[in-house]
Amino acid sequence: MARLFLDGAGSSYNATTATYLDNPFTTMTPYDYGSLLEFQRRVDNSIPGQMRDCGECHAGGGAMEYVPAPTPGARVPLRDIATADVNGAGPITAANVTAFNYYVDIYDDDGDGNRSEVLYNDFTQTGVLEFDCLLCHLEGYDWEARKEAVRHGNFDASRTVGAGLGILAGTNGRSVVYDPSLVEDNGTVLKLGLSVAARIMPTPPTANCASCHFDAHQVDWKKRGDVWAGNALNEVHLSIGCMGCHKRKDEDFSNVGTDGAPSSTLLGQCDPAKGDAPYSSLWNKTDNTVKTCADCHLRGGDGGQSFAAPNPANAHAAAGLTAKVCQDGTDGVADASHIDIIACSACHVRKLNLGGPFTGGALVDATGPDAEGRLADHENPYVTRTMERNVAVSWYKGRLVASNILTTLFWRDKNDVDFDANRDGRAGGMDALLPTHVRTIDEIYGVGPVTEDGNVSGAELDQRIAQIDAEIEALTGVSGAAKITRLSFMAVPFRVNHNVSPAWAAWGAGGCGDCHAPGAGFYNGAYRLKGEGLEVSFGGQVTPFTKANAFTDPTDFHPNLKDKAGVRSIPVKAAFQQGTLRDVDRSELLYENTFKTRNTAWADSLTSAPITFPDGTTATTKGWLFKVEAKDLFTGDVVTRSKIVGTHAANVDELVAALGPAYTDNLPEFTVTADNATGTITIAAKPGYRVRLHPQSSAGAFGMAGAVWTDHPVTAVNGTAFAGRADWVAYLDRQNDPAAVGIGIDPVAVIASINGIVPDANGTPIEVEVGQPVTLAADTTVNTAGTFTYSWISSDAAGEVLPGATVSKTFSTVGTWLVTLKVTDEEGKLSQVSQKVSAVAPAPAADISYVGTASGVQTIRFANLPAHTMLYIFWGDGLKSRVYDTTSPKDVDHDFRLYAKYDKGDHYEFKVTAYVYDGSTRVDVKQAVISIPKADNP
Amino acid sequence: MRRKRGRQCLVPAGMALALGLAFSMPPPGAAMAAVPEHAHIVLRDHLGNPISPSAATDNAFSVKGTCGCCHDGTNGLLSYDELERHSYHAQLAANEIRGWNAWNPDSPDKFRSGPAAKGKNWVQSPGHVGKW
Repeated sequence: MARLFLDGAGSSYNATTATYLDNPFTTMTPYDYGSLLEFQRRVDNSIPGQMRDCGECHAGGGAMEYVPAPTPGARVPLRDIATADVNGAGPITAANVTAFNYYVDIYDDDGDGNRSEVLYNDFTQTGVLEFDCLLCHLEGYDWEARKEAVRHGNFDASRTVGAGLGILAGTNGRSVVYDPSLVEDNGTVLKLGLSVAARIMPTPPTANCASCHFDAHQVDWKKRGDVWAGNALNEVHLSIGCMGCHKRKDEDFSNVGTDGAPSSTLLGQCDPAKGDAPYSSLWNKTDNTVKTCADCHLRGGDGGQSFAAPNPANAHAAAGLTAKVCQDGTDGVADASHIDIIACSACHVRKLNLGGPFTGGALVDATGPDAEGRLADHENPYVTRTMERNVAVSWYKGRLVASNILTTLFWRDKNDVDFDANRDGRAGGMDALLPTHVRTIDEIYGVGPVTEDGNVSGAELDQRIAQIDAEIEALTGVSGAAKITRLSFMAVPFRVNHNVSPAWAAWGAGGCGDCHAPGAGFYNGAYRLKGEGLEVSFGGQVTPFTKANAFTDPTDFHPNLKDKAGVRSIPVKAAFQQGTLRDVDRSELLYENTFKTRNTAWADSLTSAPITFPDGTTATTKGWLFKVEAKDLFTGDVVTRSKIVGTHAANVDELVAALGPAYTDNLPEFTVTADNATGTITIAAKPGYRVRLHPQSSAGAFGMAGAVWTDHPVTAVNGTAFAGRADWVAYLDRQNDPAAVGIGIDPVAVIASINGIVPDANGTPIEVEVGQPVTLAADTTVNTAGTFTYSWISSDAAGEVLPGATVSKTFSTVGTWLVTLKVTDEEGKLSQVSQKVSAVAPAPAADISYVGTASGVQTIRFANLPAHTMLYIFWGDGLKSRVYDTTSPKDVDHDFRLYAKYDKGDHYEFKVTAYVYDGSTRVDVKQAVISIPKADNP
Repeated sequence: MRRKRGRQCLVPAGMALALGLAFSMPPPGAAMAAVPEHAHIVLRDHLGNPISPSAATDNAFSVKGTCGCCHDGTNGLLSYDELERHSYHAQLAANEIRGWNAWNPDSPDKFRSGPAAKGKNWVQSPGHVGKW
């Protein structure tokens, strides 16, 4: 690393609002280290250093040709920096020791045997690395020749030798001797020969991509064990080449970016289409432009060529992989299929040794240079491995993706107080030692990377630590500070997409048991992190890579190894406290030992556990991040308050004081108080607010892990809850019977009842009343294995779908309608059954009705009466009554004459008429034949 | 649509008339692989000047000058600068530099609040340039 620019001091703090604000980064003044010694103490790789090292593959252009500037048009070519005004700060001359014109001579450019010195790069003599068109487009481009050229600063010449047009002249980096058989000389000019021109391809040949990406020890070989060689057993897409998938889909280049703005979502004309992978953060606005599996296999190329890719949908369905037997969350709802939650590559990239052996990177050993002089070794036989059965899976955006774990081991300084071992201006933090310093120390003691002999022992690490401790002060210029040198392992799961095996070799082709079995090797089973044959043992020489999850969980894995929800990092101690770099179980990369999620509850107050304070000698509170969210209960608005502790605190009083007055009193939302008696702090919301801790916080350090995280069992689709990885994986291991989850078993649709009436065998319409809610109930007992979705439709309401096994429906129109129950299972299979329903008008309102008989007198009810003052009633038995009343309904007692002429067998009938008067105005007449049962009147 | 390459990229300016139409030009739109459209192109330095056969030093050709002679932003061909500045393979995040000590836990810029973590103030961009 090297500091490129003087400005860009990150952020500034507003103590009143307790928030950090981005500082603008606009002037880009080149940073001047002042002296070669300071440069040597603080820099391992600069721009000229990158050109010599990384330029072997990186195509040139960008910072290898220009000094970055606020706008592309303002960039000054490196060729001109000694004379031109660079970003308004004047020329960068040899007197200016910057990351743009000096480098550490790790490849011994000048041949003096000193690989630690700092040298000046005179671009007028070396040239620059232009964006070399031929690196990608010239068939037969010689990557090795380019590498040898750039190693020693022959930048302009690298294009000639890489293209095979000539050789180095040896006078400077801009001079070559052309091959007359390839370059035409007419005595006046030099011209590209026909045979070379014929090899310039509009589409980059795959071999050119592979020379940087897939050949042994190159980037994707190292990170992912990817190779592009052999035959179709190694990669079924071998014949279509890299650009088969990476060729942009808008082949007419109708949307080509040219402005260089990182906010642009447009690919440039020379950009291969990009995928989307974790740990790849470069110009992410152009991610997901690559042709996906589905583009060709399901969508006919989706704008580009499809290469007659077969459609796998039927095969997937037959294997049960499209059945909704999985879940997209952890709530137990079977709402996803295997295809939904597993990326194609996870099952189809096997890297089986079918078409030749697969190897790849296991480790990057940054404890010493490799045989070529690179500052880290990823080539010795003990940091590489076979990829046979060495593919893991990890979660990325809710899906399982194939991954290769690449682990870097490196020296670091654990004195967080006063030893700035990498001279980055911060004594605290990670402080990986500069690899140039490590290389120098190795050279002094005649040692190399610790893995190079295949054995890493505690005794060896102790010896190396002693060597580092003896030399590091001189190299850094920092003296008097305690040195706590430790080895760290950083394991990173790199997404694997290449080397798609034939379909018959895919995970699952042999059935569920391919994966769902103890130790099967897909989501479980031992995974070797070490290289082949490497023996590793140690004691206390290793410190974890970091503490993830709000500073609560030590881990040797990158914190971007996330759980399914993407909420928590999955902490894995693969080396720290393990005595070796142990094999991990693949399931450790997917599931935490105890499932947790964020505690999102809003609280009146949060009190820490007793805080353990570092002693301030080699560890400190400085750098702890306190970040609180506060919610306004009235408006619902949430504000965030932050503070990075800037001093060492020995107790809670000092810690709260270090947060500043905003936290003790001034913030409107909450206060923070210390209790020295208990060694705790409390965040107390003010009236009208609630608080919670932000997951960015150093919650573990503040004794507030529980304020950020809470246990969160995973519920299986069968309803069983699992608290952690061991039981959950054991459950997954048992899921190898497709019939148990309903796969292959058809759903059945049976209507249990409609409006409480069980349909008969003849399909007799069931009568219901218009306007009244009716219960439609399915018989769910007939579907026992699988996951079922019930829904109802009815011919009276087009487009209406009522989801659920039991629903309520109201018919709004009289008629006979067809009610249909649909049952869909996890495979998408459908069963349905229908039943006619007669929706009839409600019985007319009984305005005059018989209520009952009490003490030999019948009670008659008069209902639905308008506003009135009197009822004039003719009882139909020759009697009449006047009833003065204003209520409705009104019950009136009458002793009917039960004469024979009214006798209708089992009852009597009387024609009753009521004239309704409001004052003197008759407002209604009601009439009805009422029936009085003899049973009530014996 | 691919344009005919400029006569001045095949021979130095001033020589085209002398040579007349001796060159066999590929038809417009012809695929580069089928017809070596780039044959006989004059090798040039980064300023676009033809490289003299007699030059023994500082004679390495420049793709900017050589390829950029035709690929100059006219006639449907983007210029070298347009290709170079808008390419992630070239930029390697040189156009995404945030500066030294970019970390800000409150920043709306996800790079500043995430990957540019505290203690790693040397992570100045999300890509190669600025990280390494």
